[in-house]
Amino acid sequence: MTASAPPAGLRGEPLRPAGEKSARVAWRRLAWVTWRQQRTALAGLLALPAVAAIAMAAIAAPDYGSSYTDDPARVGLKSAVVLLLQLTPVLAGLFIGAPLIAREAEQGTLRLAWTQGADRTRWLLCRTVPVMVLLALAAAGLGLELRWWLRAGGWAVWYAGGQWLPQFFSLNPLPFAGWVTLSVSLGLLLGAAIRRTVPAMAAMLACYAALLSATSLWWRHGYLSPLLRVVPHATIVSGGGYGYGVGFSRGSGPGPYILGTRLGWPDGRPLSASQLNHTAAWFREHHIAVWMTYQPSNRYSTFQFIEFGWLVALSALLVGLTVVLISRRAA
Amino acid sequence: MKLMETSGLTKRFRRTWALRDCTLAIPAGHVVALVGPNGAGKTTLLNLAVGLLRPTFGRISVLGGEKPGSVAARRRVGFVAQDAPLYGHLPAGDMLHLARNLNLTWDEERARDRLADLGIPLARKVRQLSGGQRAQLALTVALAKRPEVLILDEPLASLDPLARHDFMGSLMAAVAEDGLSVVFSSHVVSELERIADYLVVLNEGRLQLAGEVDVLLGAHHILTGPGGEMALDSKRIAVVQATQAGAQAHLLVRTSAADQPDPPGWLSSPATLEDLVLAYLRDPKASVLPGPDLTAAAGGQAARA
Repeated sequence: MTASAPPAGLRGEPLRPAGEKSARVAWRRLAWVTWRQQRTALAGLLALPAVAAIAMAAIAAPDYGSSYTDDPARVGLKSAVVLLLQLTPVLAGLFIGAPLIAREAEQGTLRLAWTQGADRTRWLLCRTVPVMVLLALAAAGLGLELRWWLRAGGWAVWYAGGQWLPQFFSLNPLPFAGWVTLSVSLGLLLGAAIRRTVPAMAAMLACYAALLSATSLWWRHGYLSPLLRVVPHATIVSGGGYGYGVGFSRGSGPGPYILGTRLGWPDGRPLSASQLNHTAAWFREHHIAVWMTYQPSNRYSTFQFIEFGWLVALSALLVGLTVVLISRRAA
Repeated sequence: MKLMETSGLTKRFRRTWALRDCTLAIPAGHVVALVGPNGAGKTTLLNLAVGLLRPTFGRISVLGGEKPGSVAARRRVGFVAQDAPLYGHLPAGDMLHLARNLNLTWDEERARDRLADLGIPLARKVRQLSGGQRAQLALTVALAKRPEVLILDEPLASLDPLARHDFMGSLMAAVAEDGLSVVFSSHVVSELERIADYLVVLNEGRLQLAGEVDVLLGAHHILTGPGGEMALDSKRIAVVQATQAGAQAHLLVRTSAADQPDPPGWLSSPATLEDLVLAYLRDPKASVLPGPDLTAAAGGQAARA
């Protein structure tokens, strides 16, 4: 009756090598369990974007093509639709991902679920993967609808570069699907780690917001190295003000994503602060040009694939970590 | 076949030792009562036995060497956790269907018959059922997969006396019908004799007593006699508990042989299971460390450590 550590050989080893190849619970049985347990949450979750989808189908997008002064109600509608769609991944993580394990841990039902015939890994995969795929498909569909809707309203013509804006870029079908998937898997992992629904939701929200902001503000710019263009015939005024006209071929597609412009010498050196105060004639005389870094418009779809790719890979990693976590942890 | 076998089983949660160095071998075919005060390590031991926890040190196996939590073990072990967790938002019928879909073996007809006998409507949501009905539903779910052993963690704790009686009745009927073994934990020590034929006492995370009820009762007596000088043969008789009431002393003793004569001046009377359990629980240091086979060890290794 001593509490000292027994010999190392006794540490938690199975008494018998795990050589069972017993039958496993069929996927379609587990799929029923998933459906029965999550249909309410899914229906509730999909109600919001459904409202947005119906609104888009029923009401024409604000017409930016003809004037800036469209019906304010319809401009407001556009913002509301975009907001609803932006919220969808967040809500998926909060109400599908985070509670998936955390709520069962809180209510003690993990001790029921994990002592039945189905093993934990299968149970988990069957409860998450179909839901994530369903939500990703829904997101992709909504992304397509939004694109169609905004184009119909002349959005692309009015402000081509606007499609690179974070709130619109992430609502393209592929990135949108990716963010929904990521959000659910993030909630899942945090729920499995924290095991309390509300704290897991809070943590999920914080992590999601951090990741989305970091992506929008920094990472997305650099998926591929930006291109540089020197605009020699810029209209330059003294004091550092300048204007320039660049002929980008854009048609109905997105324009380029301009990351930055600055005035520089022909060899690329930037002008010092005092040099910016020279006259326009001085600028012309020294062939001062506008140096512009940008992502060309033909990268728009490549960037979507890249974003989708890393989001899905990260989601798979998070689900994998959850599997490891729950197969190691107690209920 | 051993129902449950542990060796040096130890579980630590951060700084708390929930279970220490527990070595135990329970033969199959018993209804085992796992008794101890709150915090004694009962739930820990049962959770280790169903694979919801992993030992810090030591080993545990169930049903003749199955690793707890393995596919084979989960198939053969039915478990009802403390407070009988079920999905409250589901109707009872869907709860059954869900459990059916989580298991490899399932006896749907029997489960439905049981619920019909109990008068539990399939359409009623689990959270709207009474405590007794929920416990019965959890038992039904656990029995429907036709386990070889049923492990119940505090099945009686939240039940009123009537529901408790009904629950034990159903359980005993299932035992008689299927010949399954049962391990259940309880901090209620009355009524145990009616149910259990094997007793395991845990106290402060340590194993205090384990053995068949008949053997344990045969080996323990209450001696009533003069207090003060106790001229008892300590080699043959170990005093588990002594209470002094006026001029009389009541001793709960363990004797090495069941049929030995009373010591001179003392009056022997049989101990009830409740006396016995209470006496051990009052003194966490008193223990019988039986090793795997208690019938041989019941009288030996007397310890008043």
